[in-house]
Amino acid sequence: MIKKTANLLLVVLLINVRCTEIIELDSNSDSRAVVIEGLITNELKNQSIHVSYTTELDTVGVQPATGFSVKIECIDDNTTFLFNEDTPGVYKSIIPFAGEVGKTYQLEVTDVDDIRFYSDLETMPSPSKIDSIQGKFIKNDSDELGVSISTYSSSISSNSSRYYLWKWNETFEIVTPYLSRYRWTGEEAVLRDTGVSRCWKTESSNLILTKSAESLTENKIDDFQVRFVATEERALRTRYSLNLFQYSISKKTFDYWNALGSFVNENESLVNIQLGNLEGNISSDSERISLGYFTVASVDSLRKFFDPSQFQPDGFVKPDYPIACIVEVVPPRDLFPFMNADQNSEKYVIHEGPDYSGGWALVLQPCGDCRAFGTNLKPDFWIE
Amino acid sequence: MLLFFSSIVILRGQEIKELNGSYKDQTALEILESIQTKLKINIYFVPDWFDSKKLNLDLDGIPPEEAIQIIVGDQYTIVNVLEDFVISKDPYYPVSSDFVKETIDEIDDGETKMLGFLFKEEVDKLKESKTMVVGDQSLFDPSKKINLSGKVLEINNSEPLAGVLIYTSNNSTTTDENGEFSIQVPFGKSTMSVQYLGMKSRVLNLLSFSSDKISVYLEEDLTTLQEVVVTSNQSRKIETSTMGVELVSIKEIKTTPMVLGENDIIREMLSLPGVTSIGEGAIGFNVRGGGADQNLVLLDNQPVYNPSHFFGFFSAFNDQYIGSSQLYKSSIPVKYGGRLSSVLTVSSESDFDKEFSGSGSITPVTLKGYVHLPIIDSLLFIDLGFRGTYSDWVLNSVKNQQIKDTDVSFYDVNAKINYKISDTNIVGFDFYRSGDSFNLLNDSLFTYSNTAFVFADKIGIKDNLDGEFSFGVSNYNFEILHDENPSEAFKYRFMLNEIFLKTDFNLFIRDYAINFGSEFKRYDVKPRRIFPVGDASLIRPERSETESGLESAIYLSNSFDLNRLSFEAGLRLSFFGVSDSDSYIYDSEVPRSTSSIIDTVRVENNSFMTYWGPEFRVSAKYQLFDRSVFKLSYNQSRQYIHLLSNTTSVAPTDIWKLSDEYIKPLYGKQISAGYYRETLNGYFEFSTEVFYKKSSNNLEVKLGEEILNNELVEASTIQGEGKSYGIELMLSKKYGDLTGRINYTFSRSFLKMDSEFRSEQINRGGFYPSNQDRPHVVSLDAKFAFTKRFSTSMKLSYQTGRPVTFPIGQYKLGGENLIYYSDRNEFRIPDYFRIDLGFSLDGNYKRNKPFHGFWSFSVYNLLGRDNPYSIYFEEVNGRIKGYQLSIFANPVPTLAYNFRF
Repeated sequence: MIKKTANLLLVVLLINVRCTEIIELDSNSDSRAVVIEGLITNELKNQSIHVSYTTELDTVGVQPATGFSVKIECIDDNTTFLFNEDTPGVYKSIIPFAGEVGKTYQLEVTDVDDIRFYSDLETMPSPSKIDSIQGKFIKNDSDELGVSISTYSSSISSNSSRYYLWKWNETFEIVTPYLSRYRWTGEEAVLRDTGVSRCWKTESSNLILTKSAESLTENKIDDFQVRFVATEERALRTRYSLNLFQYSISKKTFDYWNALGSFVNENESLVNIQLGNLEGNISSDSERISLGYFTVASVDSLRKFFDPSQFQPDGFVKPDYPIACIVEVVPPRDLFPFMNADQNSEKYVIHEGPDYSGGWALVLQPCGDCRAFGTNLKPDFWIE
Repeated sequence: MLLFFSSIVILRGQEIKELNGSYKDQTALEILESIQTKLKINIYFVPDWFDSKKLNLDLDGIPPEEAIQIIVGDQYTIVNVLEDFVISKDPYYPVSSDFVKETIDEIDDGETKMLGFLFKEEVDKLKESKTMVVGDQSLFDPSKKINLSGKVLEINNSEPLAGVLIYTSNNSTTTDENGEFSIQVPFGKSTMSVQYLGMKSRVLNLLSFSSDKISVYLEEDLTTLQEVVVTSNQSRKIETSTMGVELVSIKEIKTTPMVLGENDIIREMLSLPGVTSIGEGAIGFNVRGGGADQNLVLLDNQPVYNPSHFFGFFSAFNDQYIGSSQLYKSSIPVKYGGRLSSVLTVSSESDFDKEFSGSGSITPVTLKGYVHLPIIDSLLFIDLGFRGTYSDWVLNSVKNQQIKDTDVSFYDVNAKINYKISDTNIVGFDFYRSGDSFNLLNDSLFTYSNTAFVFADKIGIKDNLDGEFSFGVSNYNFEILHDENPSEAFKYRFMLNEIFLKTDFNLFIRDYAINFGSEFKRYDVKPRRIFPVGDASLIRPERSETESGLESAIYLSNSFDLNRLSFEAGLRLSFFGVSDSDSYIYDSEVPRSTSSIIDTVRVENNSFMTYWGPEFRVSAKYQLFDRSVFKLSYNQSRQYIHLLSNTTSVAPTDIWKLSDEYIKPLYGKQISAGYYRETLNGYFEFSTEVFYKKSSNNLEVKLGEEILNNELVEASTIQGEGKSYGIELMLSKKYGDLTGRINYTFSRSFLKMDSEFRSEQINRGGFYPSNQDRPHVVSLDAKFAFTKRFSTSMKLSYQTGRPVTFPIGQYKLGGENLIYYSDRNEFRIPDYFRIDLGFSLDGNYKRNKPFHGFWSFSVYNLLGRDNPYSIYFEEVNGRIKGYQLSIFANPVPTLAYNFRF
């Protein structure tokens, strides 16, 4: 709370004499660091640990660290959980297990050169619960219109942790303006057996969301925005779902994630926060730098669905489909050359035919086939 | 060397002496010798002057003076001293002081006392030729030194001038706050220079016989831009054994190019060697690589904790009110203490004799004024100063909504009442308050203020002992109001209060100047007060415990001269006690954190945690030649209060913290040496100083730690050693149409944070450049007077870019793209370079005109160079981008109108 104030406070504009410009960054380093992201919860599952290397400044994507050996030890019962590399850089526990509240865990990761990275001992805090997730149509600080999705959370017991970390997965439905009834095989048009006009797209949170109830009278979070769906994002055109994971974490863990978040959100200001690599809870036997954190948290999750119609009374205007769609009619004899023409810069799909106004009705591919945006496999959790 | 032959003491006859006889084939020397014997008189001269040419002279019946003239020739002047004669080469005033001294010695040997030495007509002649006669010839006493005292006044309003530099070939001094001075002058003919920045310099030709009092009037040099703010006065440096003292007079900065028309004494400090800042508009300044919290800022003896307005864009001192300031950067007088790097004293004028007067200025940002009100003639006066912004109006007229939503305002008020109970007892009361308030983007309201007052009594206890007793309070607090979200609306308050009591004595015994006294300061720091705002607020009110500390010191110093060597040696003993509050005991096996607390200690009342230590301060001066000296100094200091900052420069939200059980006091020592030289005519001055500083217990906030809402400061900070060293070179030209100064400084500043725990190390425990590390600094100030009324000035400033921690890679964690950073301060931001230009046009400047106004126009950052103020980084579509923020990226023109009455 106070930190936020300080940050905003520091965004100072003095008349209009200041100016910002892009500078060249040519400070890539030869040495790469190991990044370890471990999260275990009290949920029974194959827990997973992600290991990667740092990449260059202009390289997009993650460079997975393969060939490591990973294990987690429960100090209290002296048990060890071994992990196997599932996909490059992602290590999953061989057996499913759930962390237990009050028990202490330690992560150990060994790289291909036998250099050992190990975490501090971390104890799993008591869980809290998500009471509700609510959305409201607002104009945010940057003057953008959209739906703000907030959580209302509270403690379960008096010894619940007052420190919160959130992650979410969102899934939204994409419905094309036109139905594509036929599929082009390359030779001929055949009726589709699976629909391609309804898809679902799933994305994960890309912001570190933390909050402390330390300075509040009650261990209770009211109206904490976890996601702002700007109208322009077009995610709220049909139906939208957010699955929120609320992690109850220790103060030390909170301090780490909270500080990390503040580094990321730093922007133009007169006072610069001292930057550097935040020391996590993972150390190494050698001089090798390790980044990341081993988070031990108890989790609660809740899924909530939203429809555009519920915000329309407040002034929400349903966003347009990402592209403009019109129907083009092609006479039957021209269908083959049209669909197979290489020179067509844009691909078309068949909407209706062949008797649609005297020919085949074609639309641009994204107007009839939503697989350009997501998958047409309906998720299990999807409720109409 | 002058040699005299007058070996025989001659009993003087009563009769009129005249010569009889002629001299053949004799040298001038022989003839003179013969005359001496014959007339029973002494003739003084330098034998080497005369060659061995044989002369044939008939001197029958010629009076002795004429005769000697004939013998030695017209190029010499013959001076009659009582009944003796002196042969001199100087046609006007025949005797140099050395000559006289030697002569007197000679006569003393002969048990003859010589009074007076000059001749009335000569004196009259000298008076006509603009020579000031000091004392009376008849009062000349060779056993006494000639003391010239008096007052330096401004010619128009007879306002006394403080800090005026006065020097002769041997001595120098400055006027005190009443414009008074006292200086020893040599017997006979000499010159004395009177200099004050912003005023026309005067060189007085003196003819001195005995102690006297004079008044010197100086004319304001309004037409010339006193760009050279701080002429580092070599002569002054030559005089004292104190090192690294810089004087800035506000008068001289009145026409310097400035940002938005605000003359700023702190900004002007930045053109001094060894003084830098983190960036344009950064709060505070750094002296010789020290932190911004290591400077003691005293405004008329009142400590000021935040000496700036609106971040650091303007200093918190009204230039209309203040008179001069001094910065001590290496040998700090023993009477000051509690900060490591420097002491900056800012003083207003104090003059009982001044008539009703005032001044004011209108700039694009502020309206400010000063008024002097004499209440009882020469006994009681009141001085008032005020400055306020109308910047809200400026900001509201800007189209940009974000800027419109920004409110910025500040003000400061000064007041002074002085009452002269008697000639030796003056009581005074000073008050100061500055306030700032800004509402940034309608998000939160930030306000801060400094409030201070001091009562002082200056007493002349005895002829050679005077004392000053003062008592005062200084308060600094800031408040953040954040009410965007009603359920979390709160107000945060930080408050620091200092109460101080000081006694200071100056004792003069023979050649010793002894300064001693004591100082007590009580600090009360309330670091964290949180109040919920509004009924809907769920914020839990919080009142952290008040930290109280008592800092006290006793000190003694003595300065004395041993021929060419002068010494100043002092000792300050400082003590610090901090009230023990409930504290935690941490597991010593792991870094301190909330989770490493193993016990809580409840303390009994009145329990104190104490620190103490001596601070030795020694300096010495050795006069190498007439106008060149060498100095050496050693200085120790201790600091018991720290500024907590998690930013690279000082932020207005940084809080002060007292030393306690875990946070150890800062300790620093510095050794420095300097060489100062003036060219013969005094046109050029050159000085160089080298220094080496070491400090321990420098406080750093751990990366990513919060400071405002932090209960466990000891777990969020680390302490380590620091070192800095450098060489400062300066060359200046003081006279002529073109004057100016150039200086170059090479210096480095490092910190080292080491610990057995990796999380408490920075850069693996090695030395790293501190944020203040600016290896190369060049600054040039020059002014040129076209005419008496129109002049221009230029300022150039170059600095190596400050160190910065840079991205060297990226990684993904928690779904976010994050930056992988280099070692602390491994890279640097681009170098800083700026040129400013100023013009000054004086109104019709007539003497005794009741109202006087002048215009000044300046362009700050003439080249419009984008000097980076800060650099920040952002992740854009998976790539890391760097941005630089420049504050004054365009030339900033300013027109200001100043007036005086």
